[in-house]
Parts: sequence; structure tokens; C-alpha cells
Amino acid sequence: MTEVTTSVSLQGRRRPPALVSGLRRRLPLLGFILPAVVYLAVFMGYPFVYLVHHSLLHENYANPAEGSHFIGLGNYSVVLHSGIFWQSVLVTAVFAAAAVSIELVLGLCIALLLQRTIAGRRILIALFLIPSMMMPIAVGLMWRYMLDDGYGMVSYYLKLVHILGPSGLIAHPLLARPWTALASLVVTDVWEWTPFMALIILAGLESLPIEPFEAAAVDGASRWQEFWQITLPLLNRAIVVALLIRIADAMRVLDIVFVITGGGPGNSTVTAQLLSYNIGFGAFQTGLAFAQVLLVLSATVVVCALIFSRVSREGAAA
Amino acid sequence: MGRWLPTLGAFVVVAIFLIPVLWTIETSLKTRIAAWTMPPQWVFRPSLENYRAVLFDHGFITYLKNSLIVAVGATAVALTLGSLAAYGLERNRFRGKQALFFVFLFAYMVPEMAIALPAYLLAVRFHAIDTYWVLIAMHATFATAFATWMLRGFFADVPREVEECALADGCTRWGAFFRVALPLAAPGLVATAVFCLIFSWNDFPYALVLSTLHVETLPVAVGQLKTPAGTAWGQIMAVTVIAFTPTVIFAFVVQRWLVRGLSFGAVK
Repeated sequence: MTEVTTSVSLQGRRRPPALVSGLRRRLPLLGFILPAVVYLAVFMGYPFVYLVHHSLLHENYANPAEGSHFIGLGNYSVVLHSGIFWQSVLVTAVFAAAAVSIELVLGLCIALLLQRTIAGRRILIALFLIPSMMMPIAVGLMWRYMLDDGYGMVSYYLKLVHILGPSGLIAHPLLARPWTALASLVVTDVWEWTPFMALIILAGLESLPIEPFEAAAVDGASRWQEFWQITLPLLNRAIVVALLIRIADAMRVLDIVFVITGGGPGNSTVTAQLLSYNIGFGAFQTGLAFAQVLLVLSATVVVCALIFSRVSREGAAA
Repeated sequence: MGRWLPTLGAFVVVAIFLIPVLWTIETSLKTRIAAWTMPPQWVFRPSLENYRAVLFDHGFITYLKNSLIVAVGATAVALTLGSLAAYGLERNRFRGKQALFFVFLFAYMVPEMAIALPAYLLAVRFHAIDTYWVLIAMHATFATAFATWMLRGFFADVPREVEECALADGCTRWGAFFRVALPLAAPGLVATAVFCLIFSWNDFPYALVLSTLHVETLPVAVGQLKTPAGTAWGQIMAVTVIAFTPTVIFAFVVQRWLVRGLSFGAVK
């Protein structure tokens, strides 16, 4: 404070106090942020508040005569007691766990392969990424056609090697039974997102420092040891980023389910988000849909936060 | 020879991943009968009949136009708001900055239905349902979150010294932003714009809920082509090819920044 006063007396004019000058410096920068914040508050925050509020109301758009009244956590109670909700949670969890873990392992292997590729790498990566850049609905239709029992290429070749068909391992059409239908969704997701996983891990691989590897070579570490004890721990960050994105995406899967199984056979492959769409938009039981979507969202946030905190702890320790 | 083994392996893996794409393109060029022929035919006489049929008979030109209008609109909004916010966040220090980033991240990861369903009810109430505006507004939300997140990294790469010179020479903050930071971050802006275009173009959940007759976008129209056995798979595959070609081309264009964009700026 004393310094400020001296400078004031030296320059012979008043300077604003530190707080005000700080604000004046910051104000233009806050002005930069404000439009986006206001925009998101209006177009995302407001619908979200509406969602939370109306998840506490009983409303039936199919029968407006019932009116709308506050029922506290009633919708949540109904959702938590409904079999289809828990089934959708199970389906989503199995789908996400299976798809993301396969993508991780495959992606890691392919990234290692691409890292050692000595020719045509750029073009290879560009081509490899096509599945992840495609419109998910298009991916779904593509696989729906290939999995089709009558005209599908995948079904045809599986029958040819007697995996599918009356005498094979799978006696029924692929999409006609719950487990093969869910497996088909997993295969589709793996095809679509393994390239993404591989690319992120490859970027991580390429930014690794060279010294630990030189030290390992001096110490005579085998390639296997090198991979498990140096490469993998150092890749932590890239892998976690890819995992977080993929898990959040897989938990809200909708597009491919919509066109490949439509949630069938029966309701056996209805995922969480498809269920909220069906309840909210198909049956117009908005309160239930809102409660359900909020429960799933909380679960996603918790899962991602757990992974994130575990990793940042490890990162801090390293 | 051993050195070439991984290269060979990589080529084989990529070829396997591309078989479904090749098959889709092939089917789109087949006649109705050929698409139903078993065993699958890999070599045949191609025809563009399916493309003509979907574009002109089934009105997919309109859906293409709708998708394009929404994608460009949403990208324009997102890029404007996102570049301002990213710059402000990058050049400022205040408490809660980290929290604000998580808000942006959350805005990107929230299940679409959590926003789309209430947005539908609100849009009905405000008579905005089935208009370009509501779709643009909603696509711009996650696109703005993404653009902010992504551009922050690009502004961090702009050396502060250059800007400080401009500020010392009497430039205002806005001047420094428009005359110095923005031009220097131009490649980042292009990459971000391309990603926003792709996200909007590919979006299904928002469009499914918020567009009905008049502004139906491509993914929604494509989704409705799925019908029981006996479907014109050739036509569906033609639409599929039309739908993914622009994104694939765009992906080639921004190849340098793909990792950054796909990981939302977390991996460079």
C-alpha cells in the first residue's frame, strides 16, 4: 500500500486503489467469458434446471387432465423400483465395460503397431480413422445390414464357417436373442471407436521421454519388462483421457442401438438413454424420464470422477 | 525383414477395419437384386441408380440442406462464443477457473436426452419447435463447450509477449484479441470449426427429439429408412455414403489436429 501512495505523490495524480485497478484489468477479460457463460446458462442450464424441477413433479402429457403437482422424490422411487430401469442400467454397464475394455486392449496393440510402422503411416492413420469420424447413425445402419440374417455379409460368412446356423455355435439369427444382440452392439462399437483409442494412445506413445528407455536398455531390461514397467505407466495420462471420453460416450449410447436392435429383442438391449427417450418421448411420462436420466447422469459423473481422481493421485505421486 | 513386420501388420489391421466401409460403398452401387444376392458379390456392374433415387425421389437433397444449415449456424455461434471465452479463460487468473472448465467439460459429456427432452417441452412452449433456430441453438451448446475447451489450448500457444507489445503500444484488450491473438490462432480456429461442423452434422439425439417435419436433418431421415426385411439396402447404403463422405474429407483436412480435437485438447 505504501508503494502505491509514493507513486501517487511522485506522479502527482491519483491512482485507483489496487482492488479497483485489478478489477479494471480483469473486467475486459471477464467480458470475453461472459457471452459463452450466459449462452450455456440459457440454452443448457435452463433446460437442466427445468429437468431437475420437473423430475419432482407428477405430469402426464398423454393425459393433461391429471394436471401437474409436486410429488417430491416420487418419480425417483418409481424408477428405482422398476425392473426395466435396472435392466437398462445393467445392459448399459455391460455394454460400456465390454466395449471400452476391448477397445483399450485392441487400441493399445494397434498403437504399438502403428508406432513401429516405417512407411505410409500418415495415410494409414487417416484411413484407419474413418470409422470414428463417420456419422454414428450411418455406422449403425451399415452394421444392421451386415448383421442381417438374410442378406448380411457377416451372417453369411459366420454361417459359412458354421459358427452361425442350425448346426453351429449360435443356432438363431444374431439379432434374435438378447446376448448375441448385445454382442453385436459391442462389436459395432469396437469397430467404430478402436481407431479413436489407438490414435490417442499413439499420440501418447510419441510424446514419451526417451531417457527412461535408454536407462532400461543400459540395465538390460527385456522388451516385455520395458513395456510393463516403463511404457504403460508413462502412458497413464493418454490412456485415462481416452478412457474417460469413451466411458462417458458409451454410457449415453443411443444411435447404434436405435438402428441395430431398436432395444430388442423384446426390451433386452434397451440402454439407459434409449429408455429415457422411450419413456419421455414415446410415452410422454416426462417426470419419470427426467428422474431416470438424472440418476444415470449422476452414475456417469461418479464413475468418471473416480477414475479421474485415482489417476491424478497417481500422477501427483509420480 | 523384421523391421517391416509391424508395417505389414498395421496395413492388414487397417484393411480389415475398412472392409465394412468398402462393403457399404459397394452395396450403394448395386441394383436392388444384387444387394439381395447371396453369397455376397464383391465384383459386379456398378450403377448410380441408388444415389439418384434417394437424392431426388426420396427428397434427401432437402435433408442435406437442413443438416448443412444447422451445422454452419451452430458452428458460427460456437466459434464466436468459444473463441472469446477461451481467450478470456486463458489470459485471466481468477478463482473458480478450474471449476468453470469442469462446467464446460460437463456440458460436453451430459447425456443428450437430459437436455433434449426438457428443451423439447420448452421449445413447444415458446413455439420454436421444428425450426432451424432451436436445432442451431442446441447444437451450439455442446459445440461452444467443445470450442472453448479446444481453443484454450491454441491460445495458450500464442506467445504472450507479442500481445503485451500490442497492449503497451496502446491496443485495448479487444484490439489485442482481434489483431494479434485471433490471427495467430487461425489454424486452431479452422480445426475447431471443422470439429464443430462434424459434431453437429453427426448428431442424432438432439435432432431426433427437436426436429420433425420441416427441419429434419440427415441422421434422423437416415434413421427412419430402417424398415423390416425387404428393405432397399442399396438406397440406405447410398445415403450412408453421402452422410459419411463429408466428415471423412474433413478428417483428412484437419489430420494434424485430429488427436487434439478428439481428445478435447487433453492430448497434443
